[in-house]
Amino acid sequence: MSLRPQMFIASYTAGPIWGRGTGDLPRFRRSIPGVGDEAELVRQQTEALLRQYEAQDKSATGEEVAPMWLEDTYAYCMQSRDAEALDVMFRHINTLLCEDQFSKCNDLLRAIDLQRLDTHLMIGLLSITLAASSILPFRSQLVSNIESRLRKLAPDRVERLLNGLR
Amino acid sequence: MTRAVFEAEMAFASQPLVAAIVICRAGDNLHSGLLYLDTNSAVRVLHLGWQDRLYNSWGWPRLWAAPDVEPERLASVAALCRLIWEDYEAKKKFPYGLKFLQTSFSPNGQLLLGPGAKGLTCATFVLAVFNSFGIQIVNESDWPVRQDEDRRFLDRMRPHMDPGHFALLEAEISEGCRRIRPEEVVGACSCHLPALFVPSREAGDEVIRLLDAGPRPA
Repeated sequence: MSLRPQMFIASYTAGPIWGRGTGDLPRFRRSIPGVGDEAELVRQQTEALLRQYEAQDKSATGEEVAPMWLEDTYAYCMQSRDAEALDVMFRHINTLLCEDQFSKCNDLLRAIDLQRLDTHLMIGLLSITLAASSILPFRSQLVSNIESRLRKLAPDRVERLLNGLR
Repeated sequence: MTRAVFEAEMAFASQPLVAAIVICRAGDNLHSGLLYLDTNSAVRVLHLGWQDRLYNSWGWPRLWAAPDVEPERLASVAALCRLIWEDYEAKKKFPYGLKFLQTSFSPNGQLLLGPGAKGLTCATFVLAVFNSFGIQIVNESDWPVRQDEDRRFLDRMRPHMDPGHFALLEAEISEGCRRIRPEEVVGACSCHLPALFVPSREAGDEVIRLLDAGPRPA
């Protein structure tokens, strides 16, 4: 192997590229697939691309695909940051409804994982979609699903939580 | 159910609810708005002010009360307030739910009342926000028509109002609309919802008495 390509790779990577040096020798590591930070980065990027392609495949077959912002909502919810979670959800759903993307919004309702939402977010979801309830066919099923979940999480408060949202 | 209390007596940010209704005396009139927390836990007040514009700050003393609904419902209302303000600042629009009021904003942020829309006042704006999320604060059909009082109120407001908005409200009064007053909206918070006129009016009289007396010294 000529020295020039390895020197190019050595200058391109963030850090040393040869194996561990000793004493006064510089510490390098080899930039070959399967070894080093760059390989890990490539692996992560590949996995992200595969997830994206799988999502596109699902979309092509009609399966519900959850938009990426939902992961932000779930993450905020897990951290009990309900205000931020509601803001993300409201902003995106309101945009869909204001742009008359009712079919897309309906698909979104199908794709939401209620197990990853707390009571604040489930009530928020029904609230922000209330005005469009007559044009979101899945919403009535969503109400039923949320009611089932609320009967486990807050059995004494179900009616007060859902009053006016069915 | 919560009785109205001054901010000086109980700070809104010091208790767990994140949305409420606030009222103040502005000259000879009463003015109401929506008290809520933003995502930084700062206290904001969203209200429909003079010249039919939305405002997100409040320079008057705050007498506030929260309606008798579950905290999750109030959290949604607070989020709606944040969305309304964000949309208003950026695009001068109402979110989807409030579009059904057929109201909108002009490019310079002035409220445009559409045909068939109820002329929004500060009080009915508050009611509309709650209504859009299925929370009926008052049973409007129980309210009386008070044309003489409403005309006197409108005459006082005339110098501050857009002529088009004034004409719409004047027409509504002539048609016999049931106008709900700011103190009645706050009073309704101490009633079972949707609140009826008589208890809301009685509680509203107490709200006025509290406003006139001011906060109790610490």
